[in-house]
Amino acid sequence: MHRTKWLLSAVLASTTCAATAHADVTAYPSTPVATSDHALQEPASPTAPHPHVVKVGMGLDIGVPDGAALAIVVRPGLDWLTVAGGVTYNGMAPGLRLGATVAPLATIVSPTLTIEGGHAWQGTVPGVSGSPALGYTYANFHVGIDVGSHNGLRFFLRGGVSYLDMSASNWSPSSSTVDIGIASPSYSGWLAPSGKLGISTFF
Amino acid sequence: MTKIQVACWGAALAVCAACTSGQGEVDVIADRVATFPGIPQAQALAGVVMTTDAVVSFDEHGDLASLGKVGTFHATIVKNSLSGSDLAFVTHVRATIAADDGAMPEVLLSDVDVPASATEVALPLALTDAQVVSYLSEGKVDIRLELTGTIPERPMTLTHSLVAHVSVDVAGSVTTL
Repeated sequence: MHRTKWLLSAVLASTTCAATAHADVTAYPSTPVATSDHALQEPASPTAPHPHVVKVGMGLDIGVPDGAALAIVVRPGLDWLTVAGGVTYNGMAPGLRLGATVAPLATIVSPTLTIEGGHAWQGTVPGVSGSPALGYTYANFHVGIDVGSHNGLRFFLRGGVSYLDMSASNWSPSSSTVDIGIASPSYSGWLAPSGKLGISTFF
Repeated sequence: MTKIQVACWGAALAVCAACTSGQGEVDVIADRVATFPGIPQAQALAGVVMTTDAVVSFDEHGDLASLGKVGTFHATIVKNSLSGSDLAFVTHVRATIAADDGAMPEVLLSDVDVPASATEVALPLALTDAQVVSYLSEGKVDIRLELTGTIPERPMTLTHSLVAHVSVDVAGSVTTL
């Protein structure tokens, strides 16, 4: 009985040791591993996050010229890069927006650089009868700061310039006998400053 | 004032403080219905070629002045035409332009033959675009349209259309837009 107990303990111990040793070799190799092209692979730090984890979250912001936006944010395996795509509403019509933000520091307060492109479909001013329909396509070039957890809830403030390509329709003031006025106005150029304030979080 | 109202005011102030730098495009339109008197019955029945005229007046000074406040603008006349079914009676159109207050003299604006059975005829400019715009910028203008043809006894109505395409170098606060 005593011998059987000892053997069982020995088997369990050896199995546990073997499993532990295997796990150690897989996750944290004690020596550099030579690859096929003879490059040396550094061992991963036991505390470092997995370098290729894709994180997904949501963002909410309000600003000019976007309006209010609700976006899905994705960190595609690069800790310093976040891409976002979402829907916007500027008070007149919905729109779409796609962009990327670079945050070089994974700190509580981090500077950011954001480039976005979006389109707001033509819409009329709510509550104003006969108002012209206004729509625009835009590109944002913003610098800003993010405050909060790098992998959790973050507040952000971004500002810079935007390039607008705007047009309006149904812009035709007229009277009964004389049609005089301005029609089909459009604008292409820079708007400064533009910016936004918002929050984002990763699941 | 609630927090939401404060936020809205803040956003509005931010928009008003924003500056623009770019190119604006706009069409300045003036459509005017002109009524031309008919001619005596005997001459109408005889099919005599006659001339009748009418004056259309409009004032684009305000619109152009507003655009001038936005930035330097350049205007091109993209349309100067006469249209209507009564154009079938007309073989020739002569148009002149003058400032209503006499500040600018009456000059030839267009002189063109009308194709048979046409319902619209373009009136090629005898002036440069800049000269036409200088008249429009001056104030109220009178365009006299002289029609030659087998004019009917009844009055004729035709629509004169003038469209200027204006490009504006926009630079400044959005409050000027």
